[in-house]
Amino acid sequence: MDKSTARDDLAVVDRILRTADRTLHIPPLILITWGMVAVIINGVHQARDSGLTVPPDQFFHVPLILAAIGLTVWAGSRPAAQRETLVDSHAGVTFGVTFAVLLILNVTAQNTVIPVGAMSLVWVAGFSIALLIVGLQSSRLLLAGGIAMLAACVIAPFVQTWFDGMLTAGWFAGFVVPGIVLWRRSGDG
Amino acid sequence: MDDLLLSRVRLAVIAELVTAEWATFTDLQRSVKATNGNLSAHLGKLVDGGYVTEQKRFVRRRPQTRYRLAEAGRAALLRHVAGLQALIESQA
Repeated sequence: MDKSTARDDLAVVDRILRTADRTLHIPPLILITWGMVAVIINGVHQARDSGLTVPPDQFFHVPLILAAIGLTVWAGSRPAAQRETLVDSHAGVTFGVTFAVLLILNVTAQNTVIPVGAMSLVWVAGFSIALLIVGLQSSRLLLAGGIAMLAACVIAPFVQTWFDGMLTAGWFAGFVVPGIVLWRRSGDG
Repeated sequence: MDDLLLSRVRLAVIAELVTAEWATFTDLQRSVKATNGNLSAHLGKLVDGGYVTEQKRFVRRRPQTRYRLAEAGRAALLRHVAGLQALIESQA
């Protein structure tokens, strides 16, 4: 091999690495499902705070979360038609780790160290961080969702009577809206 | 330098797979701009050499073959690029 060929080969590698596909192919159904779970949970809390009669949390939390886990496993195991980029696997790790850490905190510390309201805030803050990280790397839509959730976190403590309502709006804007937009873009859910 | 990566098509395939978790045959064909038969032959050599992992599956009832870079392929690319750089510098 001569110098010129070596240069050309290096240029090929350099061009491919510089123009790498950094698009995100997150299944929209997962965003919508978890967004709706959080919207229902926080919405029911807000309804209770507003004096409405709603079922106790234990009646619907576990079935909702189990249904969401089932849907997530199903949606995640469906083979995707398009390529799976490194951004996809980083996003999966980011959301997975965020969920696991917050779930552990929820199970171990809620009602002992962390009050219910504060735990709701921690869930929104945690997932706003995840959305901001994934969004900054690869998706303006998820970045906007992360900013919306962060805004909900910041505003909620200042509107005590609508605390859970504000968090509900944050989940809706951060997860459900981007999920619907991605679903419409992909055309197949 | 790595003998398998002396072919520019195979070098491009390996570089493309560095940036993807999994890439389909169609993805690789689009980026490498090789014909079906040509790409297939080169991918076969990379799979046989243990540089690339191949997976055949069905997506919406249609067969799909996708590829992933193996650790041996990643190491070979690093060695090969270092070799190319050394060659350029030695002749400079």
